[in-house]
Parts: sequence; C-alpha cells; structure tokens
Amino acid sequence: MSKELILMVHPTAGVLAILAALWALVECLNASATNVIRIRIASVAAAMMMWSAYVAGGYWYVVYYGADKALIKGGPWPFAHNFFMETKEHVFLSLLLIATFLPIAAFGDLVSSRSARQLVLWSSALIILFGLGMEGAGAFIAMGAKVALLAK
Amino acid sequence: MISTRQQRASDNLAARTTEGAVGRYSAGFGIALGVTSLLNAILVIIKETYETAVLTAMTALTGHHWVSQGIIDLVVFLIMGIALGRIAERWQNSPGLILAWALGGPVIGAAAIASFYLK
Repeated sequence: MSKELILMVHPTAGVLAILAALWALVECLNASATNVIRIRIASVAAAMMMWSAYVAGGYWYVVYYGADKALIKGGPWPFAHNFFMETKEHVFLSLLLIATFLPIAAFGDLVSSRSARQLVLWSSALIILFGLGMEGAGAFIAMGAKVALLAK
Repeated sequence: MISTRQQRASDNLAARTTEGAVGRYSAGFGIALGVTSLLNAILVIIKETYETAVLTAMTALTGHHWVSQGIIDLVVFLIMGIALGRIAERWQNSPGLILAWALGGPVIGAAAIASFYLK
C-alpha cells in the first residue's frame, strides 16, 4: 500500500468513528431493551474505527511525517505543525482512550440505569467533539504542507 | 396483545424513570480515563520542557517519543481501570464523580495541551 493511501485511511477511519459515536449517542437517547444491542454494536464500531485511525495515522506519522514536518516548518504556515500537529498528536491519545472506554460503558445496564446511559451519552459526545477537532486540525496540517509547496 | 410500538414506549418510560448505579468496570475505567488523560497532558508538558532528559529517554525507549507516550498511557489506563474496577463498590453509586473524571480529565487535558502549544 502506498504511503498516500495509508494516510487516507487515517481520516476515513476517523470519520467512521465519529459517525458510529453519533449513532451510539442517538440510540442511547432512546435507550430500551429493544435497541440496547445496537448501542453496543455502534460503541464497538466506534472503538474499532478509532483504533484503525490510530494505527494508520500513527504508522504514517512515525515513518513518513519527518519530511512534511520540515517542509511545513520552513513554509508560510509553521503553526500548522507547531500548534495543530503537536496538539493533535497528543490529544489523539486521550481520544483513543475515550473510544476504548465507550464500549465498556455501553455494556453496562443501560435499560434500567440512567447513570449508565449518561456515561455512554457523554462519552459519545466527547468522541464526536474531539473527533471533529482532529479532522479540523488535519485540514490545517494538510494546508500547511500545501502552502509550503506552493511557496517554493 | 401489546404492539411492538407500545412495548417500546413502555421500555422507554421505564428506562427514563430510574437512576441506578454504573457497572464496576464502567466506574473503574471512567476514573482511569480521567486520570490517564491528565497524566497524558502532564507528560507532554514535562517532556517538552525537559527535552534533553525526558524527551530523549522516551525516544530511546521505543525509537519515538510519541510511541512511548502512547504505550505509557495505554498501560496506565488498562492497569488502573482493572484495579479500580475490582474495588469499585465505593464509587458505583456516585455516578456524578465518575462522570466528572471521565469528562473532566479529557477536556482539561486537551485544554492544557492546546494552551501549552499555543504559547
């Protein structure tokens, strides 16, 4: 697989994780015995997609990002690395833990416990919020590389 | 004969009218999530502030400081979550506390990291 395709897996899996978290959130707003299985499926899907985004993005970051980093830092948008990439790479670790926690919370007693549902609702909401932040930061990083190339 | 729609409405009503505790591992991993997220932020600030000592050591550990940080975070999260899950009886009936850790930790951690790199 080419390195560009590996890089594309990262935001694609990230978006799918956000959508799965949104699915879990909406199902959980109307939690009952009839849809609890769907909440759990959505939660597991969100975790699996987030782990896929982590592995693909992490591999690309560790192996290939060095050249892009030098390019961005030497270009007109150095903040694309100095702020957005640095923040993204470290906040992502926290997001990965939230996504790992979601299925653990979803396997609680969602039908009879309001508190268990609150944990799923808020964890899903955090995944959506942080996930969108990651996508936005990724756009800044890509643009940072683009404007650096255009400036050459 | 109760229709599926009536049954679902009945289920929903029952689901919304009870409070209840959270599961033991939801409690344990919820607190572990908050603590690990704060630890993650502290680790970022320490490694970037003391580059020659901490960043170099973390790089030497796995070949890349970010990989080392990810492993540290995951190990702490898993060990703390399992350990706290085993003694979770004392927190299971305090869902507000668990929610505060599970939400507050990642939000404060992310804000701390962003503020650090914004300077």
